[in-house]
Amino acid sequence: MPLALPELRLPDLAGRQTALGDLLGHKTLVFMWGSW
Amino acid sequence: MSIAVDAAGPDAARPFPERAGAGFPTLVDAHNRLGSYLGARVVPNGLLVNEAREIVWAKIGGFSVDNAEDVAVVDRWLADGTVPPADLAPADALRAELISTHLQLADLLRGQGDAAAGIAEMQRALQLDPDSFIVRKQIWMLRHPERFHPTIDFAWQKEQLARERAAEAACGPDGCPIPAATDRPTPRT
Repeated sequence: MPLALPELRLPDLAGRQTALGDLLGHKTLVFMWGSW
Repeated sequence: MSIAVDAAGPDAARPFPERAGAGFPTLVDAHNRLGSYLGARVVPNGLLVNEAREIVWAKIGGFSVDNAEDVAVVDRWLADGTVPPADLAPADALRAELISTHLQLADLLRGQGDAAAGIAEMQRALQLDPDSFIVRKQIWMLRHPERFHPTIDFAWQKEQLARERAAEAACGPDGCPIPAATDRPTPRT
């Protein structure tokens, strides 16, 4: 079963708050990473 | 797109996509809200999200565009919409919210210049999910930045994990004291 993404607002690299959902709506690979 | 899980925020994450010349957007999840929702305790992770903003497949830990198997999953999904079976379920919502709240408070405290209290809040998040390397390793990064820059000392991480696991196993069911909290200087009155 697909899992709905939560509605999140996160900063982009410039610090602008962005709704995650606004970047989606088409087939997307979301890569989660850490600099540590 | 990518999501940087980085307690230090956009400034800490920015150099990496810039250096890679990434042509896709990156958001920064400083409080690990998405990771907590998914029950993810490690990165790197790959999520395939459909047009309805639903995750249809996820690989938690070890996802890489240099891994031919991972790339094949993505290619097939793009070609015919099929994905391998994936066990997708949200983590315990209350626990996820508590962990994110501790991380958010840690962020606020560090922003006010109280690094020790910030780390103590991160320790509280770790106590809720001791297997979270996302939280544990970021505590290390704050306490031992020299082990992460200019290069990441993975041998040290392995030794540190063994030391912490041994200490935590000896603490019993009530958990360990929080060094960062008990080490705080007494405020002047």
